[in-house]
Amino acid sequence: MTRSPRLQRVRDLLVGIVLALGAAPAAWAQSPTPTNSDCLTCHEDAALVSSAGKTLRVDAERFAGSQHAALACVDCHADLRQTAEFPHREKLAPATCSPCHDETESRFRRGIHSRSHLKLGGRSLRCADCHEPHAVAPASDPASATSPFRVQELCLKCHRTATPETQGRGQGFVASYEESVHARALRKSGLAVSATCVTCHGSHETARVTDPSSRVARRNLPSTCGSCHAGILAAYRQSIHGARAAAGDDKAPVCTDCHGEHTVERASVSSSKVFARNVPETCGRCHADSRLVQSRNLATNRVPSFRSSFHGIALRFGELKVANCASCHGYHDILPSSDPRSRVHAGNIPQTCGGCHPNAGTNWARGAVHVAEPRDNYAAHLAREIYRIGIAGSMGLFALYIAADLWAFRRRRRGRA
Amino acid sequence: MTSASEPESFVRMTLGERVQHWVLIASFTLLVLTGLPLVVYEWGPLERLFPIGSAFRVRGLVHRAAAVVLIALSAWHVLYVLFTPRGRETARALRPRSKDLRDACEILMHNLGITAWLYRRGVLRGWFFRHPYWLFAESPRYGRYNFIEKFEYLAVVWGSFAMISTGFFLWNVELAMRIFPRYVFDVLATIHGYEAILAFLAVLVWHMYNVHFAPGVFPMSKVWLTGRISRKRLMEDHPLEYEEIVARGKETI
Repeated sequence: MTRSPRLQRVRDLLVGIVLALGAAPAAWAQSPTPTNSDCLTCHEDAALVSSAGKTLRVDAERFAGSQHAALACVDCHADLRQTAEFPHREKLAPATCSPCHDETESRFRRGIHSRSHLKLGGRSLRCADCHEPHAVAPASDPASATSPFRVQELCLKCHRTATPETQGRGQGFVASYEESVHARALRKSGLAVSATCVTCHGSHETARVTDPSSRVARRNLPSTCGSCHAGILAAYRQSIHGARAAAGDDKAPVCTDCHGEHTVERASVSSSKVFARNVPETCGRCHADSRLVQSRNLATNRVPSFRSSFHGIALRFGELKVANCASCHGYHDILPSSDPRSRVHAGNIPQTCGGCHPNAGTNWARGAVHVAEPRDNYAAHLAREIYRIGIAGSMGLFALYIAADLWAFRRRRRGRA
Repeated sequence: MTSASEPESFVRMTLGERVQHWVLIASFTLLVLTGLPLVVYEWGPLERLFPIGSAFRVRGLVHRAAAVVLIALSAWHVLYVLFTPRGRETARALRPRSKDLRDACEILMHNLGITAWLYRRGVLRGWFFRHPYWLFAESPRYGRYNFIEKFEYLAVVWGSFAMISTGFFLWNVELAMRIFPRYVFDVLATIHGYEAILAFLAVLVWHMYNVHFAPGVFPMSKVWLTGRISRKRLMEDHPLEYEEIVARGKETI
């Protein structure tokens, strides 16, 4: 059964008022509230277990070192405030964090984790699922369960196997983060500023990618990645891709379309989507999609004409120094050739080609780079057609001569026999 | 002159000519092997031959090294043709004449035997009786080089010229683009590729048939190794040359 958060809050408030009114006179009549040492009398004993066999021990030393050291047990376990009889009853109301963390609580209520989940036996996530209740530490403490170095273990406890909506991705999609450059930066280089699950997805307010308010929703992705990669975000915003995405074209690429999500890797790693050899395929996902190309009025045949060029063939055969799409067009700052700022604008071609070919002059701009159709280079087309006819014609004549020669040989042999 | 005093075989290729042919075979084979990947690049298994790294660059180096050999060979051949008596004589014998075109048509008609077949069935019997040439009853008689050999030689000359002149500019992109615009460069690249296909197929189909697989030649004509041709084959394949040798009383032309 689900109740709307607002109704629940109203109910909680009413229950609180009734309880407070009913309990107040009794409280005055009874003994003072139990102190932390009162509680620890029993709860320091490792042998203390619940009827389900779970330990009920509280590590006093860790608690004393935690953020909550100054709090009394009954500040969170509020229903024990008035208890005089010990041992108290086993079933208590869950500890509440909202009296202090109300802002965080309301963000949590907006997120997907405040709804019930199968993996949790039908309940929603509780604060204590992520924050060790008696040893809570800030995320900046490397020992904290929510520190950048450990937070992914926390998320993967559920998400290694269960992704609520896999969106066509296989299991392990989330865990593939562990192989990414972000995870390696944390694990190997100890970079606390590297992206963890919560850097991109948010923590308390985590929402589905389909939720427009989500940090990982398409519209919000550039600024999410840009919160660390600010310089790249600025270049991207100037590019045609960034401009189209900002204008609301949902097919315009955002960061993850070229870099991948969890598997994001350096361009120098061969599995990366932006590894030199994989670039044509990555760009081709949109630029070789004929429907998308037509609907956006983009140039056709860009990918096949690259693949059949010397650059394309050399790249296919493992020569990484050769030009790929990004070498000439740029990447984050990519612009259409009609824009005078574009690297592939006719006026900038000598400079762009000159990056690899020393002393490239204006001749480099005279003629199409992507040759796919006859009109791209009529002279080359004519040469090709002449050769095709010539090759077919000469092979035909050879075949005719050889067939006649063999046939005559057979006739002669039969005549002799 | 009696046949008893004639040698059993005659020189057809001198050692120098054979060395030229061996060098041509070596450079041509290397050029085809290292150039073909650029033509049939879409063939899947090729990618395994070129792992990420320098394999493709090595291919280019070998290709250009073989090209240098071909260029040197061409220069040697030009000098040979211009400045040695035998070279000049050979080049003259290789010059195409109208007889070659006639020979080609005659041997084709002779082998097909269409007119002879029509004659046997009684079609135009009187006309054929008056014009027996059109029955192509005899195969044409060749001199030192038949039309096939002349065509192959000229194809090598033309092919080498086309490949070397275009290949030079593909090798020196920056120099080429200083001389002409990009679209001309693409034309040169197109010519280089298609001329290569033509040359490869011509050697594979035409030359391999004529010197290996043709009846009477199979498994191989040994002239390119020994340089000598037997009297029997010379009389059969190059009767006009044989008659000339007999008339002149020399071992070779």
